[in-house]
Parts: sequence; structure tokens; C-alpha cells
Amino acid sequence: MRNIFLSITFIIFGFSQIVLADYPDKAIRIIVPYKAGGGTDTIARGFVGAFSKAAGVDVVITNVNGGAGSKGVIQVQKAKADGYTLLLTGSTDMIGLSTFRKMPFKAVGSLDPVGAIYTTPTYILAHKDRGYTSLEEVIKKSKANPGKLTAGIGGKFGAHDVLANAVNGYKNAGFRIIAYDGGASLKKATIANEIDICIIHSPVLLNEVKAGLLNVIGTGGSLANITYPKIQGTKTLREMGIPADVGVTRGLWAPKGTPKDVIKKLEKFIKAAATSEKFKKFGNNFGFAPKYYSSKAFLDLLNLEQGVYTDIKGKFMSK
Amino acid sequence: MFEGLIGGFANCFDPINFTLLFLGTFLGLLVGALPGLSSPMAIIILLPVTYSLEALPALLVMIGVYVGTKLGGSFSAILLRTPGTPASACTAIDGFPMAENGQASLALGYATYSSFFGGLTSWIIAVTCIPIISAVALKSSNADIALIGIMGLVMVSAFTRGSMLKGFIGVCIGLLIGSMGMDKSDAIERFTFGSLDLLTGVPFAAALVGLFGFSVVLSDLSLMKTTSQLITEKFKIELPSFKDFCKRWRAWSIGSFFGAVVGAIPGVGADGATWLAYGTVKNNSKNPEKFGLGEPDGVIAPETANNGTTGGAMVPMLTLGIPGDASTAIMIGALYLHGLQPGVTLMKTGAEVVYGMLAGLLLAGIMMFVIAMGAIRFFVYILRQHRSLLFPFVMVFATLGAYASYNEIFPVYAAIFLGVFGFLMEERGFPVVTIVLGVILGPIIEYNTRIALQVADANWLTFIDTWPRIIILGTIIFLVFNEVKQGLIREKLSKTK
Amino acid sequence: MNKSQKIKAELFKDIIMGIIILSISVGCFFTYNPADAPLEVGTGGMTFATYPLAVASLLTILGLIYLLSSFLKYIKNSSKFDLLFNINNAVKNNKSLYFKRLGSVVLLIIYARMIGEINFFISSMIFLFTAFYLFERRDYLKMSVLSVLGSGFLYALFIYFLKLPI
Repeated sequence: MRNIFLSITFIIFGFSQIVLADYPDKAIRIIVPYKAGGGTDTIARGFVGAFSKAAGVDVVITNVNGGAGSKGVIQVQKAKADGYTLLLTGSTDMIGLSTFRKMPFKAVGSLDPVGAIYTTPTYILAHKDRGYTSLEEVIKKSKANPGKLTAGIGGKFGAHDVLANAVNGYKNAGFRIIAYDGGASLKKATIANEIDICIIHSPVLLNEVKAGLLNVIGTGGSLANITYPKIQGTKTLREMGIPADVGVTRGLWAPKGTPKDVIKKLEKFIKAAATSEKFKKFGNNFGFAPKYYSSKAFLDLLNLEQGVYTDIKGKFMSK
Repeated sequence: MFEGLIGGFANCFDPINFTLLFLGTFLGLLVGALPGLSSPMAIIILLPVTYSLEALPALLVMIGVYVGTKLGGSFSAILLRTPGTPASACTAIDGFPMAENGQASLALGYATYSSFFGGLTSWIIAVTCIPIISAVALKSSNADIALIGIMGLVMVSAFTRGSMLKGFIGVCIGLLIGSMGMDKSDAIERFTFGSLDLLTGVPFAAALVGLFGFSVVLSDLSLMKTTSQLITEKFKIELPSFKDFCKRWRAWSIGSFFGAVVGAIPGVGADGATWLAYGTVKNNSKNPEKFGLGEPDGVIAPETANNGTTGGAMVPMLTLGIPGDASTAIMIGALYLHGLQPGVTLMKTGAEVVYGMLAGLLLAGIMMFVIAMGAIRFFVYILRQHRSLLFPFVMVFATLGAYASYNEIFPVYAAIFLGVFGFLMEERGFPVVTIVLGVILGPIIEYNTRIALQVADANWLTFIDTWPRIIILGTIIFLVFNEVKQGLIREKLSKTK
Repeated sequence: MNKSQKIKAELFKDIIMGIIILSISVGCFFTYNPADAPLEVGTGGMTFATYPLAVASLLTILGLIYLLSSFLKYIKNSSKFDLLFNINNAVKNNKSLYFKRLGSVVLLIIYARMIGEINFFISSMIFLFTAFYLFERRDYLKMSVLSVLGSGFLYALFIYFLKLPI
């Protein structure tokens, strides 16, 4: 009896090893819920080479950009949980969608976070001709003339919006928030000096900061890893008394219920790719050194950021 | 500047770079000609292929595709009335009637000449006036774009033969379709019926493929028995001579002007420039009543403008890191992936690549001309086949093109629905072209008006704040006045008959 | 049917179209705010509803003009108009055309539905062959060859080359 039991156990164990040892044995598809050429897409494409090498198989990126970034998430949510379909998007992009809109998914709980690869805070820029050197200075001026100073953001209900509302709410700044239809329009408006301050994800526009055209006057999180030493010590919101960290961390998710062993393997691949020389080179060119988060660390980060969003939404963004 | 350019040309003649540029242009022509597939799509596909290449060859491929699709889209617009790219929709208005009159190769020839010429002039302007173009791109603000959009809309009568009422109804429906989805300023849903699919509105590719692809197929099914071929039997490959082309200088100079100026303004791009060029040429023509029936000027004007935007779109991308359209946005991403940093410093830090790209832009235009002229026979042969053979393929391409735009199935259903709707409207005499005009221009006008007002703190006077705006507004008023006058004259004439 | 009757039939179709246009424009006023968001007046007095409702109002006016002018012309036309007779007549005369049109739409919907469910090569082959048949081709050999070659080309282009997730 014991022999039979042992044999069966060995057979099952051996069989499962064969099944699992086969992952991955075909191309992995990464779904990016934004269109090609955008920040998340560029980071994904910068990452995919190293990831493919680590995983040993082809990795294909598919842009599914319907529904303001939600259709891509839903596609992965519905995909087979076999590790061959993954989602790559920003932490706060997911959180923003599910916090401010009715979505068939929640940022935490609907998909399994597998790891994160690139984290950047949202920072605040001003054109050099405006002459602002710090956020406090601008807030003071705005308080004296409420509704007169303009703060440009890249789209409503995103990280930029949350930061703007955090500043307006906690400091009573009275900025007029103007929502542009995306990063490109906001970039143009900032370079053309059409708005007072610009709230955008770092390291976008870093080139212009380095050239002296724009000043960084504040940030929603530490800039210690940005590839421009001069601004690494910029005062964060928390240092100014605003209890909020705002940024975006690009990470990968797998459909809920993906086998633990597959997730472990994915974690290994992601870690290898995120810490590879190739991705580091890409990151430095893009403007920020990469940072790797394990799936647990990523989950903790998601919970932290969700907390900030819920807080700010509740206090300043609900009618 | 010139040393840089010469260096750029030298780089382009490197065998690998040259071959890649050629392949890209060829691919662009082919992809552009397939209804439903667009330039951004083709470039995205090539991105992974280009990872293993150096920066310049990778971007040369993309530039080749970019230039090629601009003309390729017009081939299917002329021969099948299904534009391969949105900017080619205007070419179909006179291009297709020309094909029906047995002048298919003439139309294709004019389109090729015009595209080349437009690309050439925009290149010369771009390269010699980089600072000016950058300034135009930068200084043109939301108020300007809104006014340009309104100007394009007012010209709608240029696209309606006959009933102005029907033209305006078509435009209004187009405007409403374009406003479906989240409002860009407040992110509030409009007309979404609670559906997530419609959250960002009707996918643009779906609208184009549906209104211009499926509805054309449904409509032209009636011609299946009567005309045995797509293009009438009595024709021979008759290409326009260079002299013929020169005689029509009004059309291509107006087209180049709009292409160069409007192309530099991010956000309006080729889609806006072609309509404005067509409308202006028609209004200033000696025989405006011929437009829409197969008038070559009606092909030359939008085609010149279409390729005329390439130089204007590339300059802000290279000097400011601001994309002029979806294709240049992807190129910016590609620059990052190849270790460059697009932005105000690219001209200095990546000078070799920048000049190589500019040189490549001109060379791609020349290659496009050569390939296209040679390919006209081939295209005409393929499209001489019976409609019953071609239409199923058009339907498949259109379906897959709509699918590939968002990589999911909803755009296809949207396209089918719009196809049926567009067909019904055409049956009752509502030109589908006006609906497409509304869909393209509506969001541009609304978004830019609202942002302009927000930046100016609700001061409506911002629309007459600068001289360019006053000029555009004046033009709009003049056009409206003109239209009313023309309308009244037509009424009087028809009454006296 | 004489000319006047034909015109009357066309006018009747115009009236139907007018009704459709009006229902769209009036319908806008009921569907413009599906999420019941509060109407917050943004700067310049514009809200998210200003533009679409302005266009809808314009469309309502234009639609009314269109409907009324068609209706007046219809009444002025002295011929008799029998709806059922006209429908029967139209169907009888254009049976194959209507069938082709309806068939195309149905075929497209089925093809779209099958994307992702059935192997792309097979579904395209079936679609092409059926479409050829629908458009009254009966040269089965040519149809089959083209269906297979066509699907092969499509597969190569869209699945292999473009790597579409089908």
C-alpha cells in the first residue's frame, strides 16, 4: 500500500515537474494598455529585450489602448492564468482607473502583481521665464491671487490630478487646474510657457531641465535616482507638509490564479531583467535609474499608493 | 547646417541605410494602400525588428514607411473609394470619379506627382526654416488650432455637391459621433451608454473603415452586375506629363502652403491640412462645379498638402521632442530606445542622426515617386478585377485594420455599424465625407476651445488676441459670407429656370 | 410605376430618414450624461455638455427643416403611395441586391465574432469563399484557390508578420 502511495506521489511529482519545467516554452505576450510611443510603452519596449533574454523565449508587446487604459487590463484579467499573458502598466494608472471610475477590476486584488521595474515620482516644473525657484514660492503667490495661477496636468483622474489636488487641498493654494489631453500636449504647453506650473511624471522633460529651459520646483517623491544630480535633492511634498507620495511605478501583473511556481519563475526573470546592464542603460538614457520590486514589495507599494489616492479623493475630489 | 546635411546624405547612401530606407518606403506604399492599415500601425510592427539595428537605420525605415503610407493611402482612395489612411480621405472625392471615368492612371499619376512635390517643398521649407517652423509649432496655441478647425468645418460646403442642408446635417452627425466618450477636459462620459468600450469614444480607425470602407462596399454592390470592372474598359495607362502638372500650379502651390504651415502645428496635422487645401482650391477655382466629378485639381491639392506635412511634422519632433502626429510620436519612443534623448538638445547631442533623418526624408520622397510611378500599372491591373473578387478582400482588410487599431474586437463592430449607417445616409444623398469631416474636426475644435478658455481664464477675447487669430477669424467670416452669397445666387438661378 | 410615383417613393424614404435624424438629435438630450455627473461649469461658461448639446440642437433644427420640406413635397406630389405595394415591388426588383447587402453585413458580423474563437486561417477561408458565393460567383475552382491563397497571405501578413493577438 505504501509503495503504491509513494509511486503515485512520485509520478505526480515527476509529471508536475515536467509540466512546470516546460514554462516558458512559447512566446510570452505583454499587454500595454496605452498606445505606442507613450511613456509606459517606451519603458516596456526598453525592458522587453532583457526580459526576453532572461526568460529564454520571445516576448511580444501588444498595445491595447481602448477605454482609457482599462481594456488592456480587462484583457489580461480574462486571459488564461498560465503565465503567457502579462500586463505592464503603471501602479497609479491602475489605481486611478479603479478609484475614480466604475471598473470591473480593482487595482489590488483583481490581478496578481509579479514585480515592478521602474519607479518615478511625479514632479513639478516651471518655465525659466516665470522665475519660480520653489513650490512654496508659487503656492504663496497663488494664495494671494486665488484662481489666477495655472497648473497643467496630463489628464484628469490620474497621478497628476491627485498631486494637483493634494497641493490645492492641503495648502489651500487655489491653482486653476487645466487638464490637457495627454503628455504630449502638456509638454508643448510647458515648453511654450503657456502655464505657470506643469505637473508631469519624471523624467519626462528632463532634457529641457538639463538645458536650463525649465526648473524643477517640487516633487511628489524622492528624485534621488534621477540622472541629473542637480535636482536630486528637490524638496518632496512630504517635506513640505503635504502627506502624499505621488508617482508611478511600472510593473507587471499576471491574471489571478496563476500557479505559484510560474509566478516564482516570472519573478526571477523580472529581477534578472530589471537589474540587467541593458535595462540600466535604457533607464539612464530615459532619465531614471531602474529599481526592482519583488511581488511582495510591489503589492505593499500598491496598497500604500491606493491609500494616498483614497485619502485625497475623499478629502478634495468628491462633490 | 549644410555640412550637417551633407553628412546626413552621405550616411543615407551607406548601402544598409539606403536599402532599409527603400524597403521602408516600399512597405509604406503597400501598407498604405491596404484599406484599414495605417502608418502608425506599420511603424509599431517594425519597432521590434529595428531593435537590433543602430539608431539611424532604424529611424530611416520608419521614415520610409511614414512617407510611403501617405501616398499609398491615396491609391486605394482613388481606385476603391476606401482611403488607406485618414489623410487620404479627401483624395477620394475627385480621385474615385476620375477612376470611374477611365482616368484611373491619370489620377494615380497626379497623386504621385503631387505627393512628391508636396514632400519636396515641405522638405526645403523645413530644412531652411527650422527655427521658423519650431516657432510656429511652439507659438501656435490652442486658440489658433480651434480657429483653424472651425475654418475647416466652414469649408464643408466645398464637399457637398448640391444640398447644403444635407452637408450640414452630415457634419453635425459627425460632430456628435466625435464627441462620444470621455470629455477631454472633465473626463465625464458622454453618449457612452454605460459601456467601457465607448469610454474613449468611437475608435477613429473604426469610423474611417466603417464610413469609407464598409459603406462603399455596401453601396457599390449595386454596380456589380452593370459594370463588369472597377474601372471602365476603355482606358490605357495614361500618365500625366510633367507639363500638365506644371499647368496646374495653383492647386499644388496652395496645397504646399497648407501642408507646410498646418503640418507644423501639432495636433492638426495632415488630417486638417488636406481638407483646407481642397476647400481653398475649389473656392478659388475657375470651374468649381467640376469638383467632385473628377477634377484633377481636386486630387492635386490634398495630395500635395498630405505629403507637405511631413517636413512640418518632423521639425518639431526633432527640435522640441513634440510629436506632430501618431507616427512621429512612435518615432520619439524609438529615439529613446536607441539611446537618444528627444527634446530641445537633440539637434546637438544627436546631430548625426537628426541630419541623417532629414536627408532620409528627402530620399524617401524620391524613392516613393520612383516606386509609385512604376507600381501604377500593377495597382491598376489588380484593381481591374471584378468587384465580386475584390470586395471580399476589401472587407477582410477593413475588418483586420479596425481590429489592429486597438487589438480587440469592439472597433470592428463599431465599423460595421457605422458602415451600415453611412450607407443608408449616402443612399439618401448625404455625403459620407461630411460625417468624416465632423468626426475628425469636432474633437479638435472642442478640446482646443476649452483649453484656450481655461488658460485665458474664461476670457473669450483670447480668440482675437494675436494677429494670426484675427486673420483666421476674418477668413472664417469671409468664407461664411461667401457661402451664404453663393447659396442665394444658386437659389435665384434655380428659381429663374 | 411612373416617374411621379417613383419620386413619391423617394420622398417617403426621405421622410423616414428625417425621422431617424430627429430621433438621433433628440435622443442626444437623453443620453449625453450616462454617468449622471453633475454639470460643473468650467471656465468660459462651458461644461462638458455645452458642445454636444449645442450640436444636437443645431441638428434638431436642421433635421426639422429637412423633415418638413420632405413632408411638404410629399403631400404636394399628387401620386398615390401604397407602402406595402412599394415594399413588395422594391424587394421583387432588387431581391439579389438586397440579399447581397444583408448577407455582407451578416457575414461580417459572424466573421468578427469568430476572430479569436476559430483559427484565423480557417475563418478567413470560409469568409472569402462565402463572400464570393454571395456575390454570385460560381467558378468554384477559382473561388477555392483564391480563398486558400488569400487566407494564406492574410495569415502571413497579420499573424506572422504583424503578430496580431488573434
